[in-house]
Amino acid sequence: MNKIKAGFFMEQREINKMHLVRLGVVLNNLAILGFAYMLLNALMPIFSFLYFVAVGIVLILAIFPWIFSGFQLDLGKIAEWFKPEFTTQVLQYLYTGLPYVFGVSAVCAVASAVIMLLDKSQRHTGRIVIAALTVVIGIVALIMKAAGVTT
Amino acid sequence: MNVLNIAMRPHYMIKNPSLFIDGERVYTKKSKNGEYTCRFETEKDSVELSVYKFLEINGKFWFLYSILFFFISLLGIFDAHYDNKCYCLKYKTVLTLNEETNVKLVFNQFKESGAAINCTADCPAEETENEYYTDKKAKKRLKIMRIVKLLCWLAAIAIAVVVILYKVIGF
Repeated sequence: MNKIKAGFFMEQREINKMHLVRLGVVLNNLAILGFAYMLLNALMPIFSFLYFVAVGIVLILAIFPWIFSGFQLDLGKIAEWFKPEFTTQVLQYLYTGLPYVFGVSAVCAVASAVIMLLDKSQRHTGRIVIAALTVVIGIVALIMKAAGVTT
Repeated sequence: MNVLNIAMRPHYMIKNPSLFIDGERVYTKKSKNGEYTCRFETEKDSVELSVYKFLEINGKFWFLYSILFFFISLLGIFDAHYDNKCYCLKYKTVLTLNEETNVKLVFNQFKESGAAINCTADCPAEETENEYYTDKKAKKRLKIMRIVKLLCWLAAIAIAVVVILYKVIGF
């Protein structure tokens, strides 16, 4: 009887540890979501740059055939196709949520890293690295916002 | 002082088995050749070595925990998968130790009621349990959870449709 009881408690203790690791994995996955969001924020200047490069390429591709075909060029019309308001609005929408997303995902990342470090049965190096990266990228994005780079 | 060196090579279907020596949980470290090794020191002349595979769904309050994680992980999107196969094992052996004993535990391919572990030790070993089995109780519980999760998803979709209709059409 004692043996069965000891076995049950042993199993339950192991299962409780598994629950804890599951919580860590879920929090880490949520932190990864925040990581992707904050990476988008941090890369916003590059996206803006790429947007203008894309516009430039399209303009060049549009201008040359028009010049060679002898038609009168209406640059205003072409520029109308690439209204920056839409992009700015989307980026602005992304930008305003940054402090909240950073707060939530940083808490998730730190909590998951602590849980993963406590788990002795498995190594979770990848997840711990991602948790650390989430916090770092979040801080970088916040600094960029404070410095006005991403406005 | 007797030293017990254990090298374990688990099967890929049996993830994270638990190793116990005299009822005490022992943690292994993965070595470069893919084996999980540990070193155990004891004053005893014989120890009971046991290996088990526990399933999370077999715990107390399994339903509450499953539902809780399902909602925390945003309807299971960010949740880790449960072990659907429900393969378990129980292995117990009594080892009479030398001054330094090396034990190698190689996991066999899963076969219902078949031998789970092939043990090679440089000391006398007396196996008392060695079996693979499918946990039917866990399978049943997983099936119940699958149905509950499906119902939750249907409810969430229905709520989303109603909200969209209310917002867009003013229905």
